[in-house]
Amino acid sequence: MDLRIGLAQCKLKLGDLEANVAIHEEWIRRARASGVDFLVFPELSLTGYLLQDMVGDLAMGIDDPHLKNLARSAKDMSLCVGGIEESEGHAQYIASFYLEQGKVKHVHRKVYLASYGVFDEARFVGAGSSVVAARTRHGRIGFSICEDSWHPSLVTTLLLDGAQLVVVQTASPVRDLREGEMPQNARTWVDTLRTYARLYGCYIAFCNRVGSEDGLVFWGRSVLLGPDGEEVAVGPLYEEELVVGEVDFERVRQARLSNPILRDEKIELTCRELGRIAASRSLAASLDEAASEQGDGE
Amino acid sequence: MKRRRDSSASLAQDAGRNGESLGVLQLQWDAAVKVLSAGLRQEVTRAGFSKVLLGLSGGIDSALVATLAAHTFGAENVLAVLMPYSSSSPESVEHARLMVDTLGIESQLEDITPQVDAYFANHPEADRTRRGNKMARERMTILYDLSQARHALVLGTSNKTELLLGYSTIFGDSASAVNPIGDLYKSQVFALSRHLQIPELIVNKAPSADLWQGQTDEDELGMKYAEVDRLLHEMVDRRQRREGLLRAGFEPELIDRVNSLMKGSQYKRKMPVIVKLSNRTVDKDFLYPRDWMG
Repeated sequence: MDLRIGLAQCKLKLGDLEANVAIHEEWIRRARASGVDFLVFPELSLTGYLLQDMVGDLAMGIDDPHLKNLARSAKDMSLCVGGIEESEGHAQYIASFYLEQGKVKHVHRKVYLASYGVFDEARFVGAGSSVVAARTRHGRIGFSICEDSWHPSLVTTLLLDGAQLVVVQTASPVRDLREGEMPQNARTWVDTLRTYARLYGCYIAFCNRVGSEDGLVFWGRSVLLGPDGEEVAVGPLYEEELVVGEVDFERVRQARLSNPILRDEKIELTCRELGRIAASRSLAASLDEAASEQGDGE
Repeated sequence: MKRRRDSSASLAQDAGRNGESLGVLQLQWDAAVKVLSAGLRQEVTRAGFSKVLLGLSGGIDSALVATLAAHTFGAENVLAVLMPYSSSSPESVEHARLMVDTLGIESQLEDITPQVDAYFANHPEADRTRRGNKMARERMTILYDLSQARHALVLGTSNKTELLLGYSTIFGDSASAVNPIGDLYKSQVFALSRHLQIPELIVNKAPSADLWQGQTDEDELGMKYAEVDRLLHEMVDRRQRREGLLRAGFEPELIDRVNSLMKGSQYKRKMPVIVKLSNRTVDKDFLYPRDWMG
């Protein structure tokens, strides 16, 4: 066994950094007692989700003492925590901070901001512009924040960059409850993540929070998925739980030997074709095309 | 919950008031109760309260809210306020008392007749709409006074059908801190109430605001809940356009009437408008969640 992962499926206090730091300290203690090597918290775990104009009050630089202190408390345990990162130029981002051996080792800024339905992120924060698998002492790990994971291109990029484990931090609330026990959006999540794990032969550590904010009830059910799409460990709906599971990277190798999708991915071809499509999607290009089609008809 | 039945055994019972099939409005009710209860608990405790109160009319909406509240906070933390007017049907108070006894919650009787009559003694020309609105707002002031006195949060009892059609009195029955049934259509209120075994007497009677003798919602609205709920679900939840609604068999008159009721009552679903002058204006670009607390 290579890595014992803990998913902190916790409640948080909206807008209260100090209270949330205390919650993190408590879950770090619990995780240590369970022998966890790498503890993952949900999206925006240091701040709560529905921040709106609080974004400016809660933003932190990557040298913020709260991050350093958490990294130190964790000692040998690695952490992934969520917060609002502020750049030197004072732009704010939804971020995953990866902390290892007392330091901030990697930051992923959320690329795909959810701004539809009950979400309005793009009004309050900027979008990240890079997708890089982190080099960690546990190997290459990809970080994806909530909506990022609904874009297969982002997850694929992380895996092509060498990730064998993708950490997904989320704050997903109940949407469209129907006949089943799970809301429709939760079903889509489960299906999507399982497809990634199975298709690419990777581990996925999905950590979703519980509790509620302004009537949005976060559904939890955090899960560690293995390279066959199996649920190595899974949490309950709506209740707090430390979900713990083992990652065995040898299984990633086995899965990719029998299903070498990533090996065969034609990156240059995809880049070339996407470049062509991107150019053809400009307004000028589509007007040119329309004009030439008209010309052809005459 | 104490009186919950096995969910599979109760599916057949989870129909609308007259036993209509709920179709797409059918939910897994145990799952729905979990979500409603989790949201209710967090919003109330987050605001610093552990007790709740509500106006219990004897009708199904407030019976359901009382049941969810007792389930979430324990019967000892729920106060039901019975606020009849002299013209209210005696049956309403009886049914409210039946709910109080069934749930074992505390209740308080506040007859609103003296204050309502004192006001209209000076306005004898007032029609029944004015009188009904006054009663609803009188009840609101009592609930908010008791909220302060008892350190309990006011729960709302408006369902999604009423909210969308604007079938409520602004700052009256529409006023509350947290509303656990505001995303359930009336047909779903019936089904969930059956599932939670709310007494048949309450579930089976014709819904009424009980502002005057013989009033029923469906007569007053001129539409049946079972049909309007299906229509609202298509329009609101599925964003179906007019052509699609017509194809699905809805009458054009009903579509137009529901559209006009929804648009005409939008003001009831929003805070008052503020005219902008400054850099940041409270209702426009001063954006914080309701749960914003330092």
